[in-house]
Amino acid sequence: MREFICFIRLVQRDLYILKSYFFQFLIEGGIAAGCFYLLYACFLPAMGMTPRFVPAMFMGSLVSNMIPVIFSSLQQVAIDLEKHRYIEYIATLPISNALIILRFILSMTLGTLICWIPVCGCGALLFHAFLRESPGSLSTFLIIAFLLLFAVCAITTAIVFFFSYTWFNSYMWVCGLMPLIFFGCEIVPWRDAYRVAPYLATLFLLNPVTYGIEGMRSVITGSPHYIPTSVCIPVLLLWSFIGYFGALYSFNKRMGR
Amino acid sequence: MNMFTHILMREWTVYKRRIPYVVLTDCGLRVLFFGMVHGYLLPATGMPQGYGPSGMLYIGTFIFGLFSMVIAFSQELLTDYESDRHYDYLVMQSSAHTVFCAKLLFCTLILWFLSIGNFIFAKLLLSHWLDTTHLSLVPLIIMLGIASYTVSAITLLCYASLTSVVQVRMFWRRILVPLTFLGGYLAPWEIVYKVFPALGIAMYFNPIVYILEGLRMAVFGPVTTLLYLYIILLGAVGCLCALVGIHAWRAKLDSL
Repeated sequence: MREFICFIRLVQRDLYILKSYFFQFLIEGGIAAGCFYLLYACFLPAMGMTPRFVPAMFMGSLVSNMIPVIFSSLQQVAIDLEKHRYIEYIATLPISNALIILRFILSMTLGTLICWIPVCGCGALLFHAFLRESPGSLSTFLIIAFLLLFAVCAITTAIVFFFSYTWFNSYMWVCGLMPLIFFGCEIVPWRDAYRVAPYLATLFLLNPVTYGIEGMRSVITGSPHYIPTSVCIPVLLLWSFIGYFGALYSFNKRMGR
Repeated sequence: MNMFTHILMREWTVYKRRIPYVVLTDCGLRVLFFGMVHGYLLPATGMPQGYGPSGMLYIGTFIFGLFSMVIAFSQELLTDYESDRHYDYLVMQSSAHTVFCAKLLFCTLILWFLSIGNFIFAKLLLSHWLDTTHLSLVPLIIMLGIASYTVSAITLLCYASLTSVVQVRMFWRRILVPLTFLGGYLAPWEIVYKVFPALGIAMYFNPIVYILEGLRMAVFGPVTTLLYLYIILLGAVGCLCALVGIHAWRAKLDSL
């Protein structure tokens, strides 16, 4: 019980800090949603793109727009591990390693989700004409968004604890984050990607981001053209567990426990 | 040996051990991600071969590659400020100008080398999708050099001004997203101008437009005197960013 209270207080402290950034997130969300609208709803259709891709691309961009936010959080962890070692203090608290790592991932996920809401809100207003309105879709959308962010945060946390600071600085973008974005059906829906490049699209199925983006596309458009949510949610859950246990293993290894 | 050369030599000594990995990741993998996914998959959305030659879209995505490559070098200006403060010692030995300019020159040269490698990989991987029949080699190499310089200067300016790692998020979401999305990243300037003429005119103030339009002109032709005007403009923007960056960095170092 004491351990759990300690865990809750740590998460509360992280959320308290995040709360102070909410206005900044609102500004950034408005900027991002405006840019997405201009590019995907105005410019690309003028270049010949079929309008049915507009919401699909918007969903993909929502996720890729969150990657710098996750990177910023990861960078704080990497710098702390290399220099400040505040984590050593956390490790002395009466809390197990499993909960310490869960706190890291959960705080990062909730922080990214808070940062995400303004982009989604502004985007929903701008892309209103392209989206479907149905009861219950918001909760499914939020569940998929949470699971996707949790899986991505868990996997990237595992990477941060596993590799050195030098590796993180030099290769995190190109070897860690870019495959997640670009091999995750960010731009083109999976079925269309499969039609053009079947082998590449098969590779995309190994990426949890594919299921997150496709699931959200499926919810907001209601089209059977995308991977259904009944497939996406279990796969995202599986990836969340894999990421969490990977992060726990890397943390124990790094901290010599 | 003066301090400028000393800093360059030190950076090179650290960097040269990583060259094979950097060529593989920064040239090979980046082309695979940007070029292949955008070049091959975007035409599936109905654009005839991705708006003209699909290589045009690849060039748009190239700008993200440049920014993400330069971040690995610029990050030191921020992380060192929050921890070791090794740069304070260097600045005491010479001046903020010398250290910043050495860093900028090193970033530019490495980025130039990597961006040329990136293009070679792109041609090998994308083959006929990246139409190079009208490519002008010398203007392209000059454009890649000036693009590397401008992108390095902008990124170093931002990282020299940031005071906390938390603010890195702001750099991406407040500066890079509008600069690139409204800088001809996927949609070239002429399309933006056709859809929203006012926005097209406003884009004249965005240096990314000149980088991308210049690269497209050098690759797909025809090369006109406009390209040299872009090069001069980008050089001026780079100098301005470097000057502001030096002052911002100096102010940041003196603030403690």
